[in-house]
Amino acid sequence: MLRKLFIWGNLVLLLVFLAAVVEDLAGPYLPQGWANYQRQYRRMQLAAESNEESRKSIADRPIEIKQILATDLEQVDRCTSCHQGMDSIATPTLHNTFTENPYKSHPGDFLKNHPPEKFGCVICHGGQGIATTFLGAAHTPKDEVQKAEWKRKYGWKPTEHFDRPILAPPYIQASCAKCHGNFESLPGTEVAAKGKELLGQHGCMGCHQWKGVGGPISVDLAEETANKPIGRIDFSHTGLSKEDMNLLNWIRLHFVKDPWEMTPGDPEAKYNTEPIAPSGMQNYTLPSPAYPDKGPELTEDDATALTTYILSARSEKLPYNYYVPGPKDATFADMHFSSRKEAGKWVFDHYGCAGCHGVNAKGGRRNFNYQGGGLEPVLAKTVGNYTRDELRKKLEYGVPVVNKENEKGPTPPLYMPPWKDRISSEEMEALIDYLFSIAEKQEEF
Amino acid sequence: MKKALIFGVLFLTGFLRAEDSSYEAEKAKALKSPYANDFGPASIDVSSYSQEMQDTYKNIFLVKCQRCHQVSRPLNSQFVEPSAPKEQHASVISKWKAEHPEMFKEKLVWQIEGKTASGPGVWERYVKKMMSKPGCNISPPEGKKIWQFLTYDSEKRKTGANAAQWAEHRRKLLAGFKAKYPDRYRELYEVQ
Repeated sequence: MLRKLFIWGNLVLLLVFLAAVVEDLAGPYLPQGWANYQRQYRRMQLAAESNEESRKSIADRPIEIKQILATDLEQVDRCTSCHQGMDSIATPTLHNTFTENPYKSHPGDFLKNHPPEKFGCVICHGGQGIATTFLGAAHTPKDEVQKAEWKRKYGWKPTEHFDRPILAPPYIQASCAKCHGNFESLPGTEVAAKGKELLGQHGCMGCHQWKGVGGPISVDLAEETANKPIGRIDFSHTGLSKEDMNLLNWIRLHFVKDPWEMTPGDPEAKYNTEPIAPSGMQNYTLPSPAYPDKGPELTEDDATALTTYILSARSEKLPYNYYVPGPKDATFADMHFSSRKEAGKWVFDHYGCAGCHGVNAKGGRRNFNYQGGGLEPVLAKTVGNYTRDELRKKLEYGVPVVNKENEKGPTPPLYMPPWKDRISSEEMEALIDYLFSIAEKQEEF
Repeated sequence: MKKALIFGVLFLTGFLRAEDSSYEAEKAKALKSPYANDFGPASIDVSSYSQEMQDTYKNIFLVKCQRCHQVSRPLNSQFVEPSAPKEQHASVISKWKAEHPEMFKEKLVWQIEGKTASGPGVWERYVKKMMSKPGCNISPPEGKKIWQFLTYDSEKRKTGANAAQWAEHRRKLLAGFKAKYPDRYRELYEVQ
C-alpha cells in the first residue's frame, strides 16, 4: 500500500514538474508571450522591408529575452522583450510606423534626451521591469474601457504585492516632475504643473507639509502620502473594488469623495477609549464656501492634476546628476507686487491660509465638532473687528486650542497654528494689509 | 443602627467627593485657556442701574455670553469704552486723561478705547467679534444692547469714584493669575 502511494505520489510530482517546465518553455510562444511578440514584430518588419540584406538581418535576429541594465539606477528592465519598437537592436532608429502596442515605437522625442540604454523604462513609467509577462509587468489600464478590454484579452488584474504599477497617462507626468526641477516650464507636464498650482491655491500647505515645509496639522504629502505602502492604507471605507485598491486611487479619492467617508474616525468612541474626529480635510466635491453658486471646488481634472503632482514626490534612488535643477520657488523678497494688497494675497496663498479660511478668505471651512456649528471663521466678516495689533497677535500666536461644540465629542481636527516663526514680519504686515482690504464693512451699533 | 450610620457617613463622603471631582473636572475644562478676568466674580450688583440695563444684563448678557465663556471674562475685563454718544468719545477720553492720568498708565487695568477715525471702540469691536463667530446666536439688536450694557457698566465700575476700587480688584486678579499660570500670563500680557 505504502509502496503504491510512493509511486503514485512521485508520478504526480513529476507531472507537476513537467507541466511547470512546459509552461515556462512554451509560455513565451503563446499569443501573449514575449517570444511570440518578437516573432510577430519580425514578421511585421519583414513585410515592410524590401532591402534583401536588411530582410536577412531581421530574419536572423534571435528570439531572446531583452534587457536594459540601467546600472546608475540599479534597475533591470525587460520591457523591450515585448516592446521591440523601443529595443535598439530590433529597431536601431527607435522609430517605426506601427501603431499598436507592443509593437509601436515610443511616441514623441523623449528617448532623444532619455536614451533607453541609460534610463531604461521603469524610472519614468513605473511597473516591474524584471517581469517578462504582461501581468507581471504591472500594466495599468488608462480607463475603464481599456480595463475591460485587457481583462478580456489578457485576463488583466493588478500585480499582487507590488506597490508601484505602471503610471498611465497623464499620471506619468509625475515622473517628469520627479527629476526636472523646471518641470513647470516643460511641454507635456501641464497636468503636474496644474497640480502644484492647485495645491497652493486651495491652501493644502496650511495643514500639510511638502518635504518638511508647511503647516503642522496633517501629514507630509511628499514624504508620507506619496510613499505610503498599500499595506498601511485602510481601504475599508473607500468603496474601491480590490483591483482598484492602490495608492493613486487612494490619493485621488480625497478630492472626488468626501474625506469624512474615507476616514470617518470614531467620533462616538465606539471602538476607542477616546473619541476620534473624522478627517479634517474638506469635501471638495461641494462648491467652495467662497463661491457657493459654482460647481464642485475641485473638478475631476483637478483631482487628476493634484494626484499627479503628489505622486511626483515618490522616493527614488536617483544619482545626483540625474536631477535637472529648476528655479527656486519665489520668496516674498523675490516678488514684485503692484500693491500691498497683492503682496498680502501672495502671503495668504503661499502659507495655505485658504486651507481653513477658504479661497480668497471668503468662506470658513468645516471643522468637526468645532464650537459654533463646525465652521472656521469667514475672515472677510471677522477681521474688521480687530485692530492691527490684535490681528497681528492672533496671526503670530494662533489658536492652538479650539473649543468643542460637544464637550464629550472628539477634539476638532483643525486649529490655527502660530505663524510667528514662519511668516516674516514684512510678510505679516502685508498679510494684515490684505486682510483689512477684504474686510466687509459692518454697520456700526 | 450603628451600621446604618457608618454606611450613611461613608455614602455622604463618597457623594461629596464625587461632586467635588466633577466640579474640578468642569473647572479644569473651563480653565484650559484662562484669562485673569475668569477668576473674578461671575455676577455684579446691577440694582442701581436703569431698568433697561438690568433687563439687558439678566435677559441677554448673562444668557447669550455664557454660552461660549464665563461671564466673569467680560465683567472683569480691562476694557473701557465711554458710554456717551460716539461723537463725544474723544472729548470724554481727553477729560479722563486730564482728570485721571493714572487710568492711562496701566493698560492691563484700564484699556480705554473709544471710537476713532480708524474704527469703533473696544467693546463694540469685541461684541462684533463674538457675533461673527460661526454659530453665534446673538442678533444685531441683542449685540447692540450687550455693547450698550458693557460700555455703561465698564464706565460705572471702572472709572470715576470707583476707579481706585477697580484698580485694586484688577491688580489682585492679575497677581493671582500670574502666580498660578505664569506661562499663560506671559503669553497673554507680556508678549507683544
